[in-house]
Amino acid sequence: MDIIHYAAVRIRVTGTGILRTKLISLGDVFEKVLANITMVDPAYKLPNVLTNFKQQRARLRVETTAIDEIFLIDKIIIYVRPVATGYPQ
Amino acid sequence: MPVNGTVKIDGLSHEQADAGVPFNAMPLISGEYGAPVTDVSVIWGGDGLPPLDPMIGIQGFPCTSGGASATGTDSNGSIAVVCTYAVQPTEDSIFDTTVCGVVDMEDGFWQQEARVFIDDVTGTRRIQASFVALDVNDPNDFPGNTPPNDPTNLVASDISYDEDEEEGGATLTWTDNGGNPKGTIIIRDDKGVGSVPPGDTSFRDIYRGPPGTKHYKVKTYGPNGPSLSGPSNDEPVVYGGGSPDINITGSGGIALGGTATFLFIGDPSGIYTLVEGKTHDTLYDRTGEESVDVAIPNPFIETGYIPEEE
Repeated sequence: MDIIHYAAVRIRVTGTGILRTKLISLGDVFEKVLANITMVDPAYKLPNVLTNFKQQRARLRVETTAIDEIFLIDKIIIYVRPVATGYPQ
Repeated sequence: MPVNGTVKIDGLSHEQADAGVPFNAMPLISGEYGAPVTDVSVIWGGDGLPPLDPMIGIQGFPCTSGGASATGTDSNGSIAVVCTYAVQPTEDSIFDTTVCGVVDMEDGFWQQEARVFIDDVTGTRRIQASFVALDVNDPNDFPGNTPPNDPTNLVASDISYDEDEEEGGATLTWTDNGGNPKGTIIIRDDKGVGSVPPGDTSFRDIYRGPPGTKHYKVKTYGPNGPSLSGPSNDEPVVYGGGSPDINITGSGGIALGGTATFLFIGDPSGIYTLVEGKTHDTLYDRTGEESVDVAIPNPFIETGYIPEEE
């Protein structure tokens, strides 16, 4: 199993308020809180959030925390690169 | 307000006459609240029937028991009947007296009784009983008599309710503030539901009926003739109702992912989760009472693991 470097997260999102994102490792042991995305509607650009998270696996969580915040996500792209190779595979 | 209906005579049993234990009942007058009740009946044990209470008699000798009871109707449902009875050990001895309270106030019918036991069948015994009806909602039926002090700190606890059986109960406790009471009457929604002897400060009420809020208070009675104290504090008890409904009111709202405290009536032991976008009706607006923390979930999405699990 490789160790993956999570480099960036790109989200196509419209909405109002602040979209909060973070990466979570296996077993919820480690978390990486990413930069917030201020949403607009309509949106003309895709925010690209840089990150530096090295884990075997991770999942992305996006959420809002205030009343009346709305998000509508069309696409999520996560840029990863293996930085270490496990043996045996 | 007069006591409706008439008092019934149960009949006098003479089974014990041969045992040499005559009875002498005091005739009374019926009518208005606060007046004694007529037609005190006499009930003797005997004919092989066991006494209602543990026997006091001497082993090997037959024991006799006797008592007096009165029954009647009251469509208002708010009377308490106070009984005073006396047992005369011998013809010339001093009477002992005991005062008891209200029992069996269901369906507009009431019944009050006094039971005594005689542990020696020789000689002559006499019992006298008087029954007086009081309106539990009148401040004092007997201005000339001194009522005891008002009880305070009425608290209901251990509340239960079975919605299928429509039956529940609550334990009531209070503080007796003296004034030489002869007992305490428990009142539910302005109707007497029970009584306890002097010195007792707790009562377990059994409620049979649909779910709802019932209001309890207690009054003590005595000491110089029939008289009632003022009421204790009003203690509402909610039977049934399930989980309380919760409503968010006011401006600003509550941040998602945060907590909010609500004040409501009922059992606050649960944790309630609000669902975003759902309307919750409100039924409770009492403040200063129990509170519960409500956790409101954030709206969120999560991807699966990247790369996917093998």
